[in-house]
Amino acid sequence: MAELITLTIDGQECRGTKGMTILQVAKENGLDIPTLCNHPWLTTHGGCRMCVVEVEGQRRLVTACAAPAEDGQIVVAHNDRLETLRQMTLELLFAERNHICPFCAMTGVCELQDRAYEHHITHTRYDYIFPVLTPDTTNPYFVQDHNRCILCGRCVRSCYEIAGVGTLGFGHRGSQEVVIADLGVPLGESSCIKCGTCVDVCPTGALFDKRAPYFSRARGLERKPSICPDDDLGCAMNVVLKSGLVARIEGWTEAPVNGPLLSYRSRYEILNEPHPRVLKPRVRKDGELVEVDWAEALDATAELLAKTQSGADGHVVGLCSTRLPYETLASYHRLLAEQCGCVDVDTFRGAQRATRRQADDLYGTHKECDFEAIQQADMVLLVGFDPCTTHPVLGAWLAKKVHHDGVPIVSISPRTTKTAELSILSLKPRRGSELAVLYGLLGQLIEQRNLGHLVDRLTAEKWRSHPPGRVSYEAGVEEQAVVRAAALYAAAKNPVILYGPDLTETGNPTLIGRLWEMAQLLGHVGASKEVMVRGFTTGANSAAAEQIGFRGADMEGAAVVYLLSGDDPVDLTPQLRQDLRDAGAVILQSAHDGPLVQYADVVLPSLKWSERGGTWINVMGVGQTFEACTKAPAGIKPDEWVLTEIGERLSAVKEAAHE
Amino acid sequence: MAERKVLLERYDVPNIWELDVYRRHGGYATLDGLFAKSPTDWVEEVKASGLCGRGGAGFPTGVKWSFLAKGTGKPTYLVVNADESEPGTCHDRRLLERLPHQLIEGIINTCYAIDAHEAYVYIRGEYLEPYQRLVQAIREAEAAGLLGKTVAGQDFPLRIVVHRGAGAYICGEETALLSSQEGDKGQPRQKPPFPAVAGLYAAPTIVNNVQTISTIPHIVRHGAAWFAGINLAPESKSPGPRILSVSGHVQRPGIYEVETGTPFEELLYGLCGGIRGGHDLKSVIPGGSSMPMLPKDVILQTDTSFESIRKAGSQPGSGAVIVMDETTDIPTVVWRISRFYAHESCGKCTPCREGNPWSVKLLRRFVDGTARAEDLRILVEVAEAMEKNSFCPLGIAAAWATQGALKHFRHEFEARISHASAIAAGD
Ligand SMILES: Cc1cc2nc3c(=O)[nH]c(=O)nc-3n(C[C@H](O)[C@H](O)[C@H](O)COP(=O)(O)O)c2cc1C
Ligand code: SF4
Ligand code: SF4
Ligand code: SF4
Ligand code: SF4
Repeated sequence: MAELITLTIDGQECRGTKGMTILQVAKENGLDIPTLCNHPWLTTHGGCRMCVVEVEGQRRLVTACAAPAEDGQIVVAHNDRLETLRQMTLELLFAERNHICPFCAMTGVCELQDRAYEHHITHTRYDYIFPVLTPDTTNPYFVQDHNRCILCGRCVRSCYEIAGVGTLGFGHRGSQEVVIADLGVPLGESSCIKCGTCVDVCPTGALFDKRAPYFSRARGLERKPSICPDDDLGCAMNVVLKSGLVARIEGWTEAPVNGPLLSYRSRYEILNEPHPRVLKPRVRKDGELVEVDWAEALDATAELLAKTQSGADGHVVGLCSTRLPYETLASYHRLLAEQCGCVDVDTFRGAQRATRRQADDLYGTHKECDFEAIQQADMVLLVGFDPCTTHPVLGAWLAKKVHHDGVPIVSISPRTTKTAELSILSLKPRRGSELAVLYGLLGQLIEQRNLGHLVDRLTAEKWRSHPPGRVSYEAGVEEQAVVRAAALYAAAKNPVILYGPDLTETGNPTLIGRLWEMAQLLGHVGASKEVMVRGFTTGANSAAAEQIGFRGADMEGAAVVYLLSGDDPVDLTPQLRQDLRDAGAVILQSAHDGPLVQYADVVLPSLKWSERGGTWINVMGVGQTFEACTKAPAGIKPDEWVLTEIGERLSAVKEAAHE
Repeated sequence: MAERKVLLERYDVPNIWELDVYRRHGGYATLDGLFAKSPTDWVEEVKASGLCGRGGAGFPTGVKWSFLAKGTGKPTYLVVNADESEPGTCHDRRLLERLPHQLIEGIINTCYAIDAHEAYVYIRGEYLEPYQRLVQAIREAEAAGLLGKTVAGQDFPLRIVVHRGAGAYICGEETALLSSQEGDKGQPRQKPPFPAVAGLYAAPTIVNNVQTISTIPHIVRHGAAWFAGINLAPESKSPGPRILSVSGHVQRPGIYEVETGTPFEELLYGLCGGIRGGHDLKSVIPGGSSMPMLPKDVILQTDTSFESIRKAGSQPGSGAVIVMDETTDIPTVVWRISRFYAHESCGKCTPCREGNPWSVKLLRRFVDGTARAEDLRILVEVAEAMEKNSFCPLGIAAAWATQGALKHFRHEFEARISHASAIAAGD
């Protein structure tokens, strides 16, 4: 229980707890102390000097953002002397670079401008310096305009403290100081992961989005939380709306998984629509897709599905997107599995889940580790997983582990991964030789920690037959790398093993079994007894699909394929192309007029991410429910309505057949 | 009146920077008695000596040592501040160049007292020869078993790492120094936590100046009472010999080691041979460019004790005594000093980052005689903002230059307000 303290600020009695700063106590008690460089997400900087206050008994002024609040303290936060100093600080800032507000993207929502109004700054008594500073436009998503920068360092701190990369820093000194990327390279060529956190925290017009610079930060914006549909972490974000349009995406402090950190995909890419919307239903007539009304399209769909129901014309295959909410996935599954009696219902990339399911069948069900364990880990082994690419927020957490705590990461993947840059060691086995590497690691682990007595005969044979030399020969990795990777893993107290799509898409459950075995072995000698392994998939609602019962689909000889892709940018593999060409008929429910449309016989419009509401279950099994943020364009019906309509029509056809 | 040579006693011995020469002249004798007493005894001894830091702030050294956080589970570090960049200061350079072993002896003494096994010397980047001498001396000491896994055969490991700065004045400020040493940009850090609690690599750290550490062997050897007795000013609590770098308009500028309480009059007119070319004294900055200047009549009533200098309205600072005779133009001096601070400001806080360039431009108008009447008012206000509101002492010091000059030589500034502007302002 924190110790309660009472202090006086501007004559008002204020309560707080020990450990709070004077600024925090003032805020909690409804008192305003002006700030610029302070930000609730970040550590204190103390540089802008706006929040200086007088504390009785202290010779010098102190900054309220940094000074610890003490019981019985008497603080003066507002008087003429302090006001004069704050005015002088603002005057200096305004003369420093270029603050001609009418030409600025942030005018109206700028903290510097707000402070200037509050402190009655109408002009500066000193000539503007107007240094020549060229804006950096090399980042694809935002602009850095040094002319508006007040060197508050919020961006620098956020880049290290939240994004974990530490791309931004200060270059040069004194009035020549500028925010730089890496060692002074353009942002677009730097180590920046384009998370945009710096843009969120910048108080001025020095960092602003390219997409909609003028209306995206205006006053009177509405904010609605939503979920990123790209991966299974369950990252939530704030969708900022102006007149019902998405102005920008912002970090949302209350997001349970990711806090204010977002990836470039959930913040920026999600707003780029590569293809036009499907606005009206279409049906293929004489080889051409022609626009029809909803009734006709739904009838055509029901007819196709009903035909195959009799079983005479082959089977129906359903494939849908894991971006969809639980409710839609469930309705889709019900329609196909129950009403059409179809056994081949799955999601795109269903192999990722199938491999794990098979591992459960082979080796018994294992409860894998949670985010907490990943945060606590003192060593991370990545297998077939490139979080910096597929799960960027997890990638940023790992970057923080490396940069803040020096935690070693070892990466094993047949691809060249982005995460390898963070790794102390990365092994790149030939595709298909991953298992040899895992046996090699297992063997080294057993030898280095003397665990031979703990493994069964079969495993023992396997590892004995995989000494580093053989692994090196089979997999094309260095012998020493295998030894070192095992040593790093074996020496850790709380290691975690994370695997991803590159492992599960091999379809080989033995790989997962070996990882579980490695974790359990170390559990016998001091590490946690829990299985410190976790698999990740792409697609926000993979876990929901698994719960609902999507269990794999055989495309071979399909009479009808019903694709519910929504706004999923489906990876059109050569195999999928062939399967769609071979299918008797293809029904496509899609938000976009993308490459899938060419294969479709019926096209039904669908919703995109911001138009959907419902529940998403993340990789840890935690559900989050969000409402739709935007309205679908006129004429586009919700996916669930479409599924219900099809269901009713099917029942009608059935009844008609009975009569 | 003579100098009181303690640290500089062996200064002129040929090749004194070599280990055997230094040893022949009593070097490393402290190691005989050092380990016989407990570390805390030595902290108490240094406290009792009254030694105050020579780097600038003048904080009592033993007291600082006793603030070290205990039981943190982290190692304790000693960092020797050899960044000597304060304009006018050049004696640390001499101590490093000529008497590197005296510093190493002091480091060994200090590390034993504060239980540190790793010491860092952060040396000004431009000091190439002193750096080479110091590294050479460390190698010699290591080879002789004075550093390394054991020190003089005792179960006390000690390693000294020398780190070269890259030419920023602010890196002499202890927290900026630590950031720079860690590989970050040299910018001051928020205090608290003080370095003694969370300093280098967030571990308890003592930062002391080269001269401070070079003084320690003499206290270890002769005792606190001896040291406390080196004091001519009865009311002074900052005893001991102190090295001053005297520069400017005296006949014999140079470095002088004097007893605390030596009157400035004796220093300037006795040891330094008086003002050059028969000129009259105008003003003296007694502690490096960071401290306010004092006019002739004040400085001649002042002695070198910390207390006397503070009473006169300045600070002992780095011990750089900058002497200006009657030919000196004060606005030009202040303009020149301000340019230094504008150049060296680290950029972290608004008043110093922007206040300094403002001051420089305003002062230039006084140098040129084109100042407007309101420029004096703005100059005073900017200095006030910098003095009251800077993050670290650099911004404050920059303001002191202006404020000290305006306090004693305001008329010289007023005389530079352009006639036209004065008429326009109705003055
Ligand atoms: C701007 C600035 C520059 C400084 N430069 C030096 C320096 O070059 N050498 C030094 O010893 N102390 C310097 N100091 C003082 C140090 O911060 C610190 O107080 C000192 O090293 C402590 O050592 P001492 O207690 O032995 O004096 C500087 C302080 C400031 C604010
Ligand atoms: S950053 Fe703020 S103060 Fe500067 S020009 Fe833009 S709106 Fe105005
Ligand atoms: S976008 Fe993210 S990674 Fe890039 S500079 Fe900003 S905070 Fe750093
Ligand atoms: S870019 Fe923005 S956040 Fe970064 S220092 Fe400048 S004003 Fe502050
Ligand atoms: S006072 Fe100057 S040197 Fe010190 S922190 Fe501020 S800008 Fe940096």
